[in-house]
Formats: sequence, C-alpha cells, structure tokens
Amino acid sequence: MADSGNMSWSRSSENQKRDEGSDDTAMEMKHHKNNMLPVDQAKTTNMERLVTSTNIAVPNRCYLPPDTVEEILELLPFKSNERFRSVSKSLFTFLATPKLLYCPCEGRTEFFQANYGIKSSDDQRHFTAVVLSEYSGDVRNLGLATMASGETIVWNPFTGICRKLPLRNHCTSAGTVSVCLQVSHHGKWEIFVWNPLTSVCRKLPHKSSAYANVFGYASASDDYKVFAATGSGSCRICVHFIPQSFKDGRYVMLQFVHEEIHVLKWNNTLDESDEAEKYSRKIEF
Amino acid sequence: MSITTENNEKMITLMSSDGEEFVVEEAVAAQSQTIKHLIEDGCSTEGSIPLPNVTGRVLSEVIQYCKKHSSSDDKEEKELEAWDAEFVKAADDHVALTDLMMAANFLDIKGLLDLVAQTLANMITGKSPEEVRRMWNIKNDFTPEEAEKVRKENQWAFE
Repeated sequence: MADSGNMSWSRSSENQKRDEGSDDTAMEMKHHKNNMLPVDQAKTTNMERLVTSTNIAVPNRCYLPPDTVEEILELLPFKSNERFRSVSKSLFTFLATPKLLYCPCEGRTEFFQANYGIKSSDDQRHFTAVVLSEYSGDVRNLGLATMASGETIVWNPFTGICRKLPLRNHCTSAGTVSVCLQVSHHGKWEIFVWNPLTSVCRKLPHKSSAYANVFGYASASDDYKVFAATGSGSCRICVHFIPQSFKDGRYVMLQFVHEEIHVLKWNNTLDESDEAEKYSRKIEF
Repeated sequence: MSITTENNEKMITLMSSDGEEFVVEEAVAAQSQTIKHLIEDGCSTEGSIPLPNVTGRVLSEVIQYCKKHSSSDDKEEKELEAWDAEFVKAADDHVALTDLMMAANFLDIKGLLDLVAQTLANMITGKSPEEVRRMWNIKNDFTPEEAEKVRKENQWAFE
C-alpha cells in the first residue's frame, strides 16, 4: 500500500518536502494574505501570468462566497441558525426566505384546509416539516389536493429554513398560519411555534413526555393552545392546525407514523388540555 | 488488494495556482467531478491540468483525502470516519478549513465538501453573530434599528 502510494506521488514528493520546509512561512502568509500576491509574483517570471490571471484564487481576506456559506448554514442546529440571522442582511435573507426543502406529503384528507407532512428522523439534517397553511375557501376540495391550489411551506426546524412551493396562492387569514412543531433537539423534546407569515418562531417553555403534542384552536378562549396527546408510540411529531373559521369543533389531527400520514378526525371541541388528553385516547388508527 | 502500478494506471498531472505539480493516479484525481470532466474533455492529454483556484498547500491536502477515499473500498467504514476526523483536525483553524472548503467546492468533491462544511458548522454552532462576522469578514450591514428588530424576533436563540 505504502509503496503504491509513493509511486503515485513520485513527482510531488519533492514539492511536499518543500512545502514542509516552508511550513512556517506558509502559515505566516496565511495570516497576512495581503502579502501573498507580491511574494508569489516574485517567485518566477513564469508565474506572473498565472497569478495575475487568478487574482480571485488569492483572496485578501478569509472569505466564503454566499453559496458556500449556505452549505454550512444548512447544517447548523436550529438555534444557531436563528441567531445568525443577525449576522448580515444577506444571511438574514437566506435564513428567513422560504425555500423548498422536501415534501413528503402524500395522502388525502377531507374537511380541512391545512395539512402537515413531517418526515421524522433522529438525524437532524433530514428533519423536515411540511406545512400547508393557506385557506382556499372551498373546504370540501381541500386536503392534499389543496397542495395544488393552496400554498405549501416546507420548513426544516433545525436549520430554520423555510421554502415555499411554487403553487398558486389563495386567500390567507393571518390567524390560521401558526404552526406548532415538536422536535427532538439534541435528544430533548422541544416545541416550536412558528408563524410562516411573520417568520417568527418561538420556543415554548413547555416540556412534555407525551409522544405528541397538539396545537389547536380552543374556541372557549378564542386562542391557540398546545395540547399534550398520547398517541402511537411511533409518532414523533404531531401538528395540529385549526383555523379560526372552524369553530364548529371539527378537528383533524395528522400524525406521521412510519413515513405515512395518518389522518384522524374527531368532533369534539378541545377546550382544555385535560379534555384534549381525553379525546386523544379515542383516536384509533 | 488493490495493485496500482505506474504502467497500468494512467497518471494525471495537476498544477496548483502557485505552480506546484502533483502527479496522481487518474482514479484519485477523478474523485473531483471538475477534474473528471476535464479529463473526459481531453484536457489532460496536453501536459498538466491547471487548477487556478487552488494553492499547492491546499491541493496536497485535497489529494491526501482523495487518495484515502479512492483506495478504501474494502476498508471498514469506521476506519474511514476516524481518518476523516483526524484529517479535519489537522487543519484546525477556520482559515485552513475555509481554504479547503473553497477547493472542495471548486473541484466538486462532494464527500470532502460535506466533511468540511460539517466541521465548520460544528465550529460556529455556539458562536455569536459577531464572532461569525469576524471569521469570514462578513460586514454587518444592518442599521442599529434593524439589528435590534432582528435580535428581538429571535431573542430566545441568544439565551
């Protein structure tokens, strides 16, 4: 192995030695890249043409082009990514602009204008939530078919990156676009509430041992609440979306189980978390 | 057992921006999609392939990576992971890693790009926005009012 390695390096081993010999100089140059250009140019006249034609190759400062920065940002945990929105305007734009990541939604729902498909995985980089958050007006034609007419937003809670699917828009009601996601963040369950309209995301102080949490509209208090739901053990994430126009108490809960979306419906009004707990037991797959 | 002889294996000469020449097996060089396409287009037949965006220092690191990853088909994945970890550890500061990332990006070596991007991501995870700006000379172009607004919206992320 070692032999063959040397073979293939035959001509470069000299270079390597030279490189090692000038290690200190190289380090020095790294930290003072402004000086690098003249030094290189002074080396040989042959080099002049090459160096001048590749000024970009010798940056004056440590700089990463935007697309390369984005490669790194996509790998960041959610919290860091949120924090780095304040680094600069271009980073803010990248981090806050809806972008299409992944859309695992397939299936059918009725009566409901919002759908959520969540790809659940312990690998943070592949954790993606899909949120359909537009109200099309025609409730009966909704469900996943709405994806073709309503707006789809795909959000990765770990990178904070949201992407809009290029679909036709329908009317939006600001009250209908909050989304709750329960995500496993560094092994800890945490709940985020996100409003795609304002791009504001808040972490709730709530900690739950329940398998799923339900985000819902409680008509009694005219407010959105997070309910603990004890569902299937394999349910990693549960998103509940209830628009204000749906005060008649029809609720749909979508769970992502084994990469499939299960649609659950029940006709009770969720008023308090205890109640939700009770109703959730009625759920059957 | 992979036997690589200079007779059977086609060799490719790569030239860095500062004029250093590296002779590598084609299979090693072809891990870079950029170089692979250049070879396919016949650019390697006439002397060395110039890589104007990569210095010799960085190129030698990149070749190290490509050699390891081209000869490791029959090796344990874990060993390769450990090697990767050592490899990025050797380029310990963000300047060296940034150079490596730029090279991996230009040369289009996905494995290396992912490896370095993840290392840099880990490096900046706990940092403040100001530290990130300093690392890559990113200009803070927010007005104080805008900065305050953004900060307020994401207050929890600073806690």
